[in-house]
Amino acid sequence: MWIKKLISKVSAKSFSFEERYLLFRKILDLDRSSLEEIAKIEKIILEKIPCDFYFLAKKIDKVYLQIKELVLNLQKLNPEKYKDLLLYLKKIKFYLELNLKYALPTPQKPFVLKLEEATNPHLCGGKASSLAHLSQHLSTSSFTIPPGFVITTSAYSLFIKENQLEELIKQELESLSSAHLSQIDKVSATIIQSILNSPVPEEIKKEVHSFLENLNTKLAFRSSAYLEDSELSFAGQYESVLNISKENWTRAYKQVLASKYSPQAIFYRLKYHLPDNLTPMAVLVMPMLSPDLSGVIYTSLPQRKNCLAIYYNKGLGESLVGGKVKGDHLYLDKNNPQLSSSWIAKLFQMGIELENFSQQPLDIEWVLEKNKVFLLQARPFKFKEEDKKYNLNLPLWLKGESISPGLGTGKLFILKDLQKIKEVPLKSILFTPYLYPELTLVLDKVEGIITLEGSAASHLSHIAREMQKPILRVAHKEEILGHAGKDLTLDAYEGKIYSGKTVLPKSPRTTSLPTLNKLLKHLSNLNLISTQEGFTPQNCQSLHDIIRFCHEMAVKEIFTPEKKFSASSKAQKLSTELPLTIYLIDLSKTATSNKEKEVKLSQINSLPFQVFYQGLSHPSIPWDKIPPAFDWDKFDQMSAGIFNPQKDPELNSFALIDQDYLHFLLRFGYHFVLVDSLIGEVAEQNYIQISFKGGGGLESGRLLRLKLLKFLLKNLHFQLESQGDFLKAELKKRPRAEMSLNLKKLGFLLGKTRLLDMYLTHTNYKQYRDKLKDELEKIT
Amino acid sequence: MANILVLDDVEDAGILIKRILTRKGHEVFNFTLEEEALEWVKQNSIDLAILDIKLKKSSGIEVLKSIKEISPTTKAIMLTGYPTLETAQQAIQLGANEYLVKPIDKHELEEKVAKVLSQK
Repeated sequence: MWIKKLISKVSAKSFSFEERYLLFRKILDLDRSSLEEIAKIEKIILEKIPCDFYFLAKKIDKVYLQIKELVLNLQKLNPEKYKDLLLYLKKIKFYLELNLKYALPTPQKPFVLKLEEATNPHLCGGKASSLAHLSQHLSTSSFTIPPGFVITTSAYSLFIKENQLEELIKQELESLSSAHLSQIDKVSATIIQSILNSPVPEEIKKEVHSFLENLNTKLAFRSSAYLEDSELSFAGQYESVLNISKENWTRAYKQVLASKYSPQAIFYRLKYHLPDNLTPMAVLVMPMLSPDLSGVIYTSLPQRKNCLAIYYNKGLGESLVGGKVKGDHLYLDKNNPQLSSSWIAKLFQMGIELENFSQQPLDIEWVLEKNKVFLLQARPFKFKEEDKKYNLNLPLWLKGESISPGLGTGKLFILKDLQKIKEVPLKSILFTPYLYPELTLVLDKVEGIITLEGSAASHLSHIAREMQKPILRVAHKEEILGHAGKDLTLDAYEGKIYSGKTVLPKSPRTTSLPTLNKLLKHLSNLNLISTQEGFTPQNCQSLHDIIRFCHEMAVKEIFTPEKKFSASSKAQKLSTELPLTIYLIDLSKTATSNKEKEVKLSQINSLPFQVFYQGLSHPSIPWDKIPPAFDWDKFDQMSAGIFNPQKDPELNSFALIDQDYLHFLLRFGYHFVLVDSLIGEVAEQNYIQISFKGGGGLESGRLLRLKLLKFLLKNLHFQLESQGDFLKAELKKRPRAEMSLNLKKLGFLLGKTRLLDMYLTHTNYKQYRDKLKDELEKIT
Repeated sequence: MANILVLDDVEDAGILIKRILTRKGHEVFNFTLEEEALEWVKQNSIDLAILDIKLKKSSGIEVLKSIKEISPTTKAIMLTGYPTLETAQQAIQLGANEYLVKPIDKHELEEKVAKVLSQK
């Protein structure tokens, strides 16, 4: 018999159903918590919420461990089938770590380099390497680059490692999340003290001394960290230490190193999620100059591209760039500059030459000594970014909670029924009672979504964030319903809904470091979208994929009939009016200590069972009509007790129940239905699955009944899969109330159709179908 | 299309890669021994070397170093079954363009090869 075949396929597992069920629940818990964690991490990255990169790495490590546990639990359900999954998880972990864990440079020679040779930014940092690059490629008489040398990032690495500071720094920084930013001063002070109290390694000292030998002037020590003066300027984040006599150089050197951990420098890295080890510090040492004037040139201005600006003051420039003095300034028209003295002409020429060479506006630091221009620094001049606050100038209508940030404007469309999804108009603002996963299909069509339910951990909101589509959640549907067609503008940065339409600024594409995008690729991007095609471990490219795979597979694993329920002594017979023999096993931890052999319906604490049974025992179902489902007692008498169904587990119905769970193997005489459903508070995890096979009627009747079931289930939004006279249907991710109603309707439908294969013909099919459709709609 | 060298001590792994990349129109040369591979790089122009980290005699990192000395413009993708972060970062410092972790996925291989070949 086919049931036997089905059962023997499953019973290979060594776990009892109760044990498998506990694993299943554990998987659902892990699924939920790891998805929430990933959503949090993704939010930090996409919304640029300041936190230290170590903190981020630690969070990702933690979620990885959860997912590993998830995989191990799934493997217990079916070891052979999922044996490769861990391999793919480890692969994803490796790709994550490539963009997550950065080692300091290898602490090897050279520890010191002449400035002219300091072209490698990894080794010599941004400031020194850009000067070295200019001195190698630009021959000019308009300015001079002072001679100097660089104490490399390798030296920094040696300093940190030899003094065993790496772990200390990591531990301190790791504590800095957005919730603990107030700790930044304390963290900074601790690290700075440790650096200042550590000795400079002998190897570095020896190399520096050979460079200092021939120098007899005072010295300036300037920061030159890797990535400084690049796309990220770090302007003013690090310290320069001036007027140092060579006997005191180690102190000055350490002061510049320590400035990497000033509170503002730490915060700057937190804001851009820059890994600490990715920005090692080199130090540029130059002879001290005695300038008559010093200052800054901006080679172009944001409002006036044709204008070059020179800012200057007398003496050293530190107070000018530090904002302590205002100094003087000159604006020069690039096409017609008023070059009133020779130093202005020299500075103008330098600015133009450097801008032309670099092909971008520059921010240049210079000094003038004895009418000679010295270049101290040249870095890209970034114009200030647009603010993210929008003044929409519209009347505020409602407030909501932001689920996916962004702006959108359009007419309100109210989606009452998912079947109407094709009617969602282009560029509308969609109102939906829930963030159905199917709405992905219209995401690029709509301007924004207002929802009543759903969270930032849902698949839909995840995809919305990737697509920068605004989603807002409101508290009451009454406020929205009845306003279809109203013009609206959403500001999901601020959580506001305005009346009226407006022209919106183009959404600013937030630029993230490429490493962060690569992180997201292996963390939260969802590649396993369809469960039909390519739903395999090989196609898992992110942690999110692995979670989704485990969830789908766990549901699949649990959705198989079980043979040994009745063997359990815990099974109780349901006392029921229906002509069915139903045994129950309560899986909940709070299972009543009721050891009675019979259990009353009112004693059963399981929402899915209760609603399903309500449907099944609906008054309009003619259970006692002839022929009965199956008259086991009569059959027993007839078979003279040789075949007693109440003793033979293969012919009874069994239900495994928990407060929010039902696994029900129903045998209606000749046909077989398996219902498996979870209905809890978390809509994302809720589902109903049924499989249906067999029947005592003629083949044509059985197939017609199947056709009828398919029609009606589809109408209830079930996803269907069928082969021959076997049907599988599934409904997923609906909130509790909607799920319960559907399960009740399913119970009703199964009760109504249990013998329909005996009656259905091609002529009466439509009549039965339409009558059932009406009856189903009336069930509430 | 590109000239690609594949060095993997397990012959079957190399054959699999060759099959996938040949279909994309590339000319693929397989080796299991490091000396033979290096000799080939000296005699021929190679656009991309796909190197397994764990080789018979040495490591793919050593081979990468030698290839970069012989032919600095040759791109490299490192291949490994048991990745460690240290070797990965070492390889990237030595000029490896990408990393490919076994088990090899066809799409991933195609994507990374295309990406590396399009880099300047």
